[in-house]
Amino acid sequence: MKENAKKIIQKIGSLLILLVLMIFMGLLSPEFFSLANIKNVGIQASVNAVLSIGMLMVIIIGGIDLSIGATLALAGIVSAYLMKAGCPVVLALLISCIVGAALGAINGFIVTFMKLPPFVATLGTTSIFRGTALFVTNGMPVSQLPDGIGVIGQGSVLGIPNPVVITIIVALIIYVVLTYTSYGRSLYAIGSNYEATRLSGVSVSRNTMITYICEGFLAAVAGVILLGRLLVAQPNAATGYESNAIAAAVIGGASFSGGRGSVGGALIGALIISVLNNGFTLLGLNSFIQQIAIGIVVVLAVFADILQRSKVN
Amino acid sequence: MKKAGLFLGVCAMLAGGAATTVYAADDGPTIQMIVMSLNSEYWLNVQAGAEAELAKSGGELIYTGPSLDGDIQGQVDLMQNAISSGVDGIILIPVDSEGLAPSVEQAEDAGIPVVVVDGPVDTDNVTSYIATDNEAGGRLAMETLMDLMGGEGKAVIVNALAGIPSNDGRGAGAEEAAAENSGIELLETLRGADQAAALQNVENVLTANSDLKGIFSAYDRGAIGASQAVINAGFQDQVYQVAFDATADEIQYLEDGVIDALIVQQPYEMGRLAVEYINKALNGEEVPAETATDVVVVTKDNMDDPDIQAVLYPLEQGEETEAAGTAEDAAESTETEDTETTKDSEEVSEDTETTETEE
Repeated sequence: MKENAKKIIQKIGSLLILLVLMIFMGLLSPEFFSLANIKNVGIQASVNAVLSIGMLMVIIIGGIDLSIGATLALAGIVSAYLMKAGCPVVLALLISCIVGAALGAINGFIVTFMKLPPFVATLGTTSIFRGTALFVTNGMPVSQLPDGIGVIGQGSVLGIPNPVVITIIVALIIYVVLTYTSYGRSLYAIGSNYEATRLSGVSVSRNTMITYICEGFLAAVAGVILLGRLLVAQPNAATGYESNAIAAAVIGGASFSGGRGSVGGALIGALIISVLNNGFTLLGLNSFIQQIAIGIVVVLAVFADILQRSKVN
Repeated sequence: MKKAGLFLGVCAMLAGGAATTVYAADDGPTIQMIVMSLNSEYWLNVQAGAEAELAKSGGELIYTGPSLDGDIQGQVDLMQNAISSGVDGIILIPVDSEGLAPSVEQAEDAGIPVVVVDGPVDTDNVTSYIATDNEAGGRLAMETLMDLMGGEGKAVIVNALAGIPSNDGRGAGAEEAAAENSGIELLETLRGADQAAALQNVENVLTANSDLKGIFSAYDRGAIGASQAVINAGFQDQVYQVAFDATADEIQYLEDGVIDALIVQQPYEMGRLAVEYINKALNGEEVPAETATDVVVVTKDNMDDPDIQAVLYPLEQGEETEAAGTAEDAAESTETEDTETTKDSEEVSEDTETTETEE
């Protein structure tokens, strides 16, 4: 009971910040609450939202994955080359997601079997994945892709833009997995107390491995959305996206010490970042000041979360 | 040749996120080219021009650059490596005018001539500087855009992150030109590192300003992102676009009528001149301290002219150096660049005014 109350307050904490920000932007800019702009915010949040949900899973087990941006880029390039070679769009995207999962498996292998700290392991694989992407493309973007890919970025279902639809599907699946499966619940246990979880008979290394594979898969899914939006695969795509994904997960209440965090929170975190970007551009704010403001809000959001938690305790 | 390139590329990537391509060696000079980043195909045109010129004298061109934009340290490292490996000359396309100055001086002091291309480096101890007059180019771009807009309405500049001298110069020139026209309301400049950022920024601006009439993109990836935003929002018929450079995607958008004019530089000519100057400097001959190469305004109407084709597709024209007529012209008119560009702008703006109809 007490646990539930705590969780609810944590979620409301970041939700409150999101609502305050939206009201603030809405008051200052009449266009903010227009249907077109709400779609905009949703679309713009989608790539980061999918990335942050993957990041969340890794953070829950007490890990981190710095390589998601590079994974996204490399998986995207594989699918772009396949499409150019005449492979059907859907198949190419599917293969791209499998490539993402395979790259995640490399991370998982290094973390679980070579016992490297996740930070170092994924720092290394970032360089390997990014370098491979640059090497196979010779640094050049892969463009002039078939039209079909644009449907993912620009099409919609029942008026909801496809990037948002994909994000919602991903969020629902991961929410169910984390909440209702023994695998999902074991992630929280691993993050809270690794040794106790291992001794209780849970296959910790298998579940850690699966988590990194999921993370790689989701990075590739985010890459599919980005590809649909940009219509070009770039070896340097998504550089620095890992920091936004980490920020979104942490704003949403995930803890670096592991064992804590929720899909809803990560979604709210991703939305907060998007609302800030979008709102400040609507207001015509100087782009340098935008960066400063976003940094301040990230710090404040996490601080508010810390305050709330200490109150509950 | 390819294998050596692959091997070196992998080594360089592991060492510092940079890739290297080595081309066939001869008896001539070994020249290292250091570009801003390996992720823009634009620099390949400079490389092609340099290769063509080097083919005359024989020699080897080493094409290098950091993998990411804005990596000053990466360029400094490559400069240091070039100096210690004892190349005969360096062609540098700097990401920063101050950060690269000490390395340029060091190379010159070591007797290695450095030709700086595209943007300046803050030192007098340099063999030569070859670039588009970016401020004049930005000014020309904004004038072209304002003509298309009929001299009034809201416009916005899409630029790269601040600190890159060439992009900053274009932005400054464009702002100046817009300030002289009271009918133009210039919004806050949008800055972003890549296409994804430009796409997002322009989507947001179009939401807040449904009466936006003009976009000037000061760099190629910005232009592509902006074009996608314009198409997604269905603003092709309302928003006029002028963009710098002529990548394959930009040319496609010009053909489709999404972009109305491209401001095209002559990177091939810059690369060719750079090698010519290094060869001269190595022979103890005088070379000009500063050379401004021309920009050309390309519209849907003039894009099929043979002269313009040579500027748009320097890589294909490159093999027959004689055919690059406009490039030769530009070399001759290097010092009288100002009068040349104004003439261009008037010609083109007249053209576009008669063909663009308000919808």
